[in-house]
Amino acid sequence: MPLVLPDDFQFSQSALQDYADCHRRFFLRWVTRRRYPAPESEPMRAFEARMELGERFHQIVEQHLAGVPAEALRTALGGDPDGDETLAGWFERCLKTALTDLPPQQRAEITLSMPLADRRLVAKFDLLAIQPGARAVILDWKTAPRIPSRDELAGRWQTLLYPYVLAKAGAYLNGGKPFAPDQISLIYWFAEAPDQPVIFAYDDASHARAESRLNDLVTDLLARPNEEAAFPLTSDLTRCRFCAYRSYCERGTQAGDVLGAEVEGVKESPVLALDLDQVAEIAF
Amino acid sequence: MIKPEQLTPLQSQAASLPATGRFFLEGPAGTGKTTAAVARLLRLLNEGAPADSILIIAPQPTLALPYIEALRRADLPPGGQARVTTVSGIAREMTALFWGQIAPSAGFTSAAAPPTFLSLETAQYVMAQIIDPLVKDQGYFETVTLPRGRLYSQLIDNLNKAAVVGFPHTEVAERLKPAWAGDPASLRMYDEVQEAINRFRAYCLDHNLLDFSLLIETFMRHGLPVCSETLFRRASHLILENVEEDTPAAHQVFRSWLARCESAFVLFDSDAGYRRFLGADEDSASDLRAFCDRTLDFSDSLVASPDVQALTAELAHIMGQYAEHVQGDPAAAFDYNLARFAPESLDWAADGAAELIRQGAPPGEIVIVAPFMSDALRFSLIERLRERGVAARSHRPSRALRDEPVVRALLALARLANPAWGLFPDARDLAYALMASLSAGETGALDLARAHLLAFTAYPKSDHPARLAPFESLPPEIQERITYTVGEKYDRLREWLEAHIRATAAPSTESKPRRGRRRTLEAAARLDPALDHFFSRLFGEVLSARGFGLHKDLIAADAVAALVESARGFRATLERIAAFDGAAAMDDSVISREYVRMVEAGVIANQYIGAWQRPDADAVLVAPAYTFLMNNRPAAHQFWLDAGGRGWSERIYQPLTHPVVLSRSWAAGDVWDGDSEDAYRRETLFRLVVGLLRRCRTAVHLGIAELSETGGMDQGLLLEVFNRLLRRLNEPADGTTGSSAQREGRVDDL
Repeated sequence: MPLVLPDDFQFSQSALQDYADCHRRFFLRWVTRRRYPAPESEPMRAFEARMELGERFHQIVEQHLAGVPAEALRTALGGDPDGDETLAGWFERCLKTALTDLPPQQRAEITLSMPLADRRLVAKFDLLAIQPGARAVILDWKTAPRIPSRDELAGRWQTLLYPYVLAKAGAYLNGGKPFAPDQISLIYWFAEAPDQPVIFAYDDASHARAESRLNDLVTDLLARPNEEAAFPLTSDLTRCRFCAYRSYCERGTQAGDVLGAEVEGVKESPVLALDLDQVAEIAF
Repeated sequence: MIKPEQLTPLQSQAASLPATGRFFLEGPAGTGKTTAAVARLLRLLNEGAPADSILIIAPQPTLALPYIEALRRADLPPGGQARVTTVSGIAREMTALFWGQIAPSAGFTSAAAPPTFLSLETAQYVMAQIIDPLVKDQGYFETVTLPRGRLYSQLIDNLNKAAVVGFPHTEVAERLKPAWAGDPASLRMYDEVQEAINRFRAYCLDHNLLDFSLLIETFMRHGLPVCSETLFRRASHLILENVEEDTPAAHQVFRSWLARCESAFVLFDSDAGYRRFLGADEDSASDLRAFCDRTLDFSDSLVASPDVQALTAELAHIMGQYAEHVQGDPAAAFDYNLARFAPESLDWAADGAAELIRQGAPPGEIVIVAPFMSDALRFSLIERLRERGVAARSHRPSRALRDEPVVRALLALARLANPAWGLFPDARDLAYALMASLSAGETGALDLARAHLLAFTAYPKSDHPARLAPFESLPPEIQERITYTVGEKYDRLREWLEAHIRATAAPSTESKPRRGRRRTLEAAARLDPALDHFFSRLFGEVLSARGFGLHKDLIAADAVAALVESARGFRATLERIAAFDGAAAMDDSVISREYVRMVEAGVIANQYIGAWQRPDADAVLVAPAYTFLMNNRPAAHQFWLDAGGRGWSERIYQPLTHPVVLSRSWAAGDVWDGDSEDAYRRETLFRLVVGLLRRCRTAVHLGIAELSETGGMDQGLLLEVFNRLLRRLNEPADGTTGSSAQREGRVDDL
């Protein structure tokens, strides 16, 4: 029996990254749609606190871009009994380093979608800054403590997908004409290293490469039978330490430690690179 | 894309209306209004309207599903995303976004601190903190007998009614008191209601807490003017689905938006308003007609057969309501089964569904409804259907977490692992917990008898704090009976729990941790004794491991996930309240104990949305009648169980609030007496029956048991109405031999 994706399934960078990381993980998370409440990483509380900070940061930037003056937000951050100096610091750095020299039309938390196979492919952008007819900048806020290398980021589906979706589905933001690939760029901005953003330019070749990889992945996925065994486990056991399904897959019971000594050997922990879009989707 | 040939002329006309203008689509359920609106949505998108200029609002998410499904179609052009939401969803989003501007004028203590949105369960917890001392020390609510959870929920309901109807919450008592027809000595309960909700509201304002009522009030009075500019910077096309199920507050929002939007479709179901108990107001919805440029009347049913329509008209007539005559045979649209006991009715319904499927009916075209669907009824029905090879699905709006066996197991283990709470499980609870935790596969199975033996032997009541004994310390004959395979798993679970006990009891300044696995477990627990994390670790590190009870059990995993989510939400709210008070971080142990206490009392964690989020469309639906209505998907065959029951027309016992007295339609000074209640019941039954029939293509099958599920002998209004119908059908006005059903001997007095 061919693969049956849930009626409400949409392709996204999280789903594609899961498939790339571990076919079984994709099957469990996106096909069976069952939640699995084991810890993803330890220490849970520190990780949770970090995620909450990240979420609040996204919201503060969105508030600012919706018209709330920076001064009002500064006051709020200063008076928040539950707040954190970190957040205020991130906001200041963002104002000084990320929100300058951007194209004038700025839209926070915007989602674009396009057809892919018999589904839709969606991308949710932290910020799109547009100068119609000239350029479009995608900004993605990263608030994790660890700064991934450029190579790591280049290998992630988000890097491939976001400019691709903007090129394919952004015409309505550009007076009805699609942005040319070389008008698009993607910036990863790091709250913990605001002066070291990683910028990816985009061009026709990148666009063709993205389309080809995307089609290959979807063809490979849809050719699989609708059974768990057709979705093999990853051979990289490191990933299992940061995957909640580890006990289901009999790949251990203890979550990896993202902050302690155990993290030193981890090069590509999904948790370390986790972003909020991914978290929102995980929560299905 | 909906093809033009799939639409009726009226639907085509509606879908092709200009992209400017406001249109009111009115008519009974099943006449194709939603299909027309979806067709229009697709047309707008295909003609180039930016998707993010479209805003679709439904009273509840299930009613928005046709739009969500349409927007996921692969044949739609690339672009932005239309927004599909509810009024409270918009209110929450906008209140969070513009909090700094809204909070000061709305009376919150601090605009600097962010808002905390309360769920129903956390709102009930906060209400409990405010009310419990009044109940205990001042004798509040002595005149009513209610489970504590329902007391809190009715108090909160009063606040919600005030917010959605649009009167100050301080007027609740003065509205309820004059309508009271009971013992005047009981009137003091309304003063107590008023005091309780006043205190709750003041506490919320002091702590930036927004329950549903305060969210709506804040948004209506302070948020709407601030956010409309942002919202309508892009949104210019509105689709307002099932406005009759929304509240006057929502209608006020719609009125202001109708004045600003470029185009609007307003969909109104006549004879509906099933959410009246939540404040839905059909009259206020109907007033939206005046804000539209044109009305389109949808009157021809695309669902019900002529026979079903004739049956609807007959029943409406019997219930004293006007209904247009339809050519058809009402008796051909229903049959019934009389049984002595309720289980026989269930067998009849399961047999009937199986037979219909055998004759070619798709399972998804069959629904089995009852006014209320208890766990036992649902389980019995689904089991009977499965025994007959019939796939079944169950839709319920919510399921109490404490009703899930795996959740009860985790709660028992949590109590055992946290002796400081002083909430020790009894051996019986523990036996169930051990059975759920340790039983796996044929070799590792632990049946209930042996689980009891293990629990009663290894968990001595006399020892406090009670701890599980090591397996090797049990008498050899017991060990043998339990089996060593199970004993090994038992010890692993016991060690894990012991490690948690030691770690959470140890002072945090403990020096060098010990080595090995024990060190890891204890260090983790000491740093982080939060209950949600405890559940998560217990599941991930023990119970879901190979050989344990939850290994590869994704349904149980889903229930544990709901528990973890609920406990996390509870902790987050309490931590924010504590932080707001300037208190040191609240002790996790206190939060955890409170959570367990509240779950077991049924006060919180009562809103677990279960399997209905993943419906299998090609299966027989088993659901409460109102849930089926709110799904808004028709079926060819409907089995109505417990047709003699009173639940079809009676409202739940709510002495502290009132859906009608607190509505806009209530005239000040009127008294709610027996006649009012009777009229309300008849009105409720009319709406429910007509609503179900309008979603029925072919036939209704009534299941009547002399003795109900609870053993009582009910003679509800529905039965009375059908009896009158049968008498009418047996008295042909033209002197002929009556209907086809009579001739076949199917129709007799019930």
